[in-house]
Amino acid sequence: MVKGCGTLIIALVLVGFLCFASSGFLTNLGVQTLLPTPVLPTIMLAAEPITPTVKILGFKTGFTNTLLATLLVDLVLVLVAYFGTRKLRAGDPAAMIPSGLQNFLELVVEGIYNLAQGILGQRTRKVFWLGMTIFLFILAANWMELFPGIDSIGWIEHPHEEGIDSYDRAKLGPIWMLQAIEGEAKAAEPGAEEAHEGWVLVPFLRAASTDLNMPLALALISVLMTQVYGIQANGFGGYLERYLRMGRLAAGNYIMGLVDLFVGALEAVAEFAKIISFTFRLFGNIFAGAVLLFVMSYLIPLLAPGMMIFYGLEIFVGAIQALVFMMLTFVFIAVATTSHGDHGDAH
Amino acid sequence: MEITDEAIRQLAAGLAIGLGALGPGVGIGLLGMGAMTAIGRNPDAAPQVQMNMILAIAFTEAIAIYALVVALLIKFV
Repeated sequence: MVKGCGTLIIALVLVGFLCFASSGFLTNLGVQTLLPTPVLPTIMLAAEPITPTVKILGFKTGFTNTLLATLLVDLVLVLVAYFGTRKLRAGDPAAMIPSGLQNFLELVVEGIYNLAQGILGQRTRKVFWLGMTIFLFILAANWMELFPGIDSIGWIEHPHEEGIDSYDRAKLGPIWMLQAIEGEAKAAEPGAEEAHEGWVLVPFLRAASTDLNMPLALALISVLMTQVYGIQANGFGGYLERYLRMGRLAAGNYIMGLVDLFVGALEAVAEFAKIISFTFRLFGNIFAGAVLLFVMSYLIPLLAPGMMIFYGLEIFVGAIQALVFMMLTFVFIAVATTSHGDHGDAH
Repeated sequence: MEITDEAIRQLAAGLAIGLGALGPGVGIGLLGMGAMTAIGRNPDAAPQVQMNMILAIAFTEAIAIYALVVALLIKFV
């Protein structure tokens, strides 16, 4: 088993090496090769629409490539869940001894459940679905970035904006592909109409986490549910007391009362800070990872095996970010659902 | 080489993430050191220490990510 894996990895590395060696390095030596020189993908902060755009409320919008990737992630998760639990739902007695996909899913879910129990205690059963869904969704969305073809297959169009590096295009069989312009890539100059002559690639699929909207949506869900569970556990009064502590002020202790008010206000600000840090942590890590992979595969195509290091790093970062998002959600819920000890004593 | 607006933007983006990564770099190093010491003293508590370490690193790293976002904003927006 282990021996077979080793052979497979060596074969993959060799194939990758040959593919990449034939692209950059040999062309530089003046040897004509099958593949053109590598092209640095256009690094766009915002997701690009892959359908004709429409104007809604003054914003030009369309069906973006990250939205398509999000739907694909949903589809993958639904299919995995469907096929993983098919025996269970059918009431098959064989499901009592899990095997294959079901076994794997049970391993993952149980592992995370035990982890959550360490943080949430008795409340785990109620809250677990939220964190687990977030974990699986982010994990799938992050790892999607690593599949070949994502970020590299799409429409070849003229650049829509100024200041974007554009390339030549060439036909290889029935498909078009981008080709480096002789010399340097030409940046479209502001205002010049003919500078929009070049071509850029608008990929069909782009990892969902590299679009700021997806992490923002998840952060909003996570923080909102934290408030909901906080209200459920402590009641509305107890929930408000966290942000508006009037106890000591009403009792006539003005100095400590003002301090309490300030602390409460800080807690309220911290809730908004949570949204921002959730959002940018996920977005920043995955976007930076995608850029890292782009630039490295452009700079050192010859060292394709060396790329494996960055590839492995991105697998790790994707998993860690999913884990961290889930863990922080659990921790914040655990904090929000515990009632205030000192206030509990006073009443 | 001429000092253009574009050159200053590039420099600013580089400095933003470069300086912004200094603090969190030291912070994560300290966290790792603390966790390793703790595990060395009490290997049985390794899973708990690791979990808390990862959480703390995530908080520290968020600061570097803010710097990265600022750098991206300078570069692209």
